[in-house]
Amino acid sequence: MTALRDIQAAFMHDIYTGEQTSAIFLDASASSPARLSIYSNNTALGLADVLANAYPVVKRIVGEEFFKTLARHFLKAHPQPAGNRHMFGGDLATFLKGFVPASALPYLSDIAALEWAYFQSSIADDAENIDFNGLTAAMSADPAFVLALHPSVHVIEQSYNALDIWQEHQKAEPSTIQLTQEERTLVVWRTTDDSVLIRKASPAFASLLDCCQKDISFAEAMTIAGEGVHDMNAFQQEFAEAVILRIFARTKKETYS
Amino acid sequence: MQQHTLERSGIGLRSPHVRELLDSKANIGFLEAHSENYFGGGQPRKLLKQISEMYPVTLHGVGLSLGRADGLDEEHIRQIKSLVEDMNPVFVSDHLTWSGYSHIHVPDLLPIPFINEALDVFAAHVLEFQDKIGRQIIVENPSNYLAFANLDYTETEFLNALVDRTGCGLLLDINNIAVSAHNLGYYALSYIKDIKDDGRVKQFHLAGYQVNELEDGGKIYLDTHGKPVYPEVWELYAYALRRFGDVPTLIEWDADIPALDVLIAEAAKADDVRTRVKGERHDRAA
Repeated sequence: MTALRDIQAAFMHDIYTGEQTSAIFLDASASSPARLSIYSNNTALGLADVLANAYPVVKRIVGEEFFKTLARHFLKAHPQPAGNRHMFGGDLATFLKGFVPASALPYLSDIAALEWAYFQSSIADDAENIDFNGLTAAMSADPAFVLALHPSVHVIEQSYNALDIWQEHQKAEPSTIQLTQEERTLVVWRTTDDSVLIRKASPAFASLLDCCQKDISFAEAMTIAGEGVHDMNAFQQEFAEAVILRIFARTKKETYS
Repeated sequence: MQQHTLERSGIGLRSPHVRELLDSKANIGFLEAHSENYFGGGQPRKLLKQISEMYPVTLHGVGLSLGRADGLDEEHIRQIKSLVEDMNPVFVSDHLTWSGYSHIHVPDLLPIPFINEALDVFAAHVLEFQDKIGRQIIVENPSNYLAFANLDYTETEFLNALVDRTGCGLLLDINNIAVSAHNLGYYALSYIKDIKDDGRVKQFHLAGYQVNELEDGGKIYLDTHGKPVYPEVWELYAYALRRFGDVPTLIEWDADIPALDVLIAEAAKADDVRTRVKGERHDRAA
């Protein structure tokens, strides 16, 4: 390992653990444990803010102090993964399932999953949507055409009626919602006016979206999704509404080259 | 590229002010947007586009981590390149710092040890970044709270060498110079004097700091961007204007963000100093 790598590994370790292993690289006359702690504190405060910005309803439900504690534990287990700080916090729903102090709120993980999808959807890359005319033209030009999802699309599985609770918490004074356990698939995406939409997805529609994500051709995806569907009209209507609400895109997101 | 003289000073673009800035044209030279706040798409990006159509804009990065030892993040560069193409910024800037290593990052600007290896790494990253976005970047001096041992360069030697190797420009943050000088015990004026005066300084930042007492009883100057510019920083700024000429200047204010008028008034103070220093030059010439 080079000197720079040694220094950066030690410094990063110290920031997330509060230890002082990088002190050996420092000039003692202008450095001290308290000065090194400035960077740990900045990170803890900064990431707590990032988390609060992405999870306003989780914060509202658990309260300011509990949220601070949650953030402190979470960032040690799941440090910021990229320089884009909007990427920090995506593991909160999974983390909450094992976070004992929150075990009295079993639906909190579902709320977190929904908020993360909502937040990510609101800032996802823009893309050119495809409408029915575009879809028809693409199918005629290429029978193996793959229908892409808009980059803002997120499909999430829920175990509770967390969507109802989340919607109630958009109000200034939320009422209490009766908690019920129910399996739901939600699809979250950003439509043309930049508002984020949340819809319950039928198993067939969820299957269609899954096929699109796996680059399966549209024709085959419709066949797979349609297997075992009892109410084909309802499925077609769900698909049509999604096209109108611009859930699909013309091409997949390009990667940098 | 659009040409802007930026004779009027600018302010940092902060979300509470966006609507007001769009509703009617404010009396400022330019706006600086933090690049990472506009990654991706959606409403924030559209609003920045509108802003860029009304005002000259600069893009200021806080997360690329040019000083990291393990290579730049391609996706991060892709996002900045996309912003640069959309917003046509006057400057693209980043910091003489690092903030990520081995897939772990922090929302902070971490100090670089000024050793030969760090200069090799930093210069290679600046060249790569400039090549990929297709234009010059300017690099900002950081605020320092501690110092490394066994260094090959001072900070100013490191910055001068970086410019010589890469052709990048410099963004001198006068507040950071004052903060670091207090914390590390050197003279801020000497720092300014040690930066070569050959057109490499492209922009100044001004901001307010805060003095805190540490747990060990020591005093520390923190670059909090939450207060008006201090008198000593105004004096250093005037000195820097005399040395480097009339360089575009920006007021940064990120914490306890005041009303837009307060920021505009702070930028107007910078304009007054610029006018005064220009006047001194004319007097000398006469």
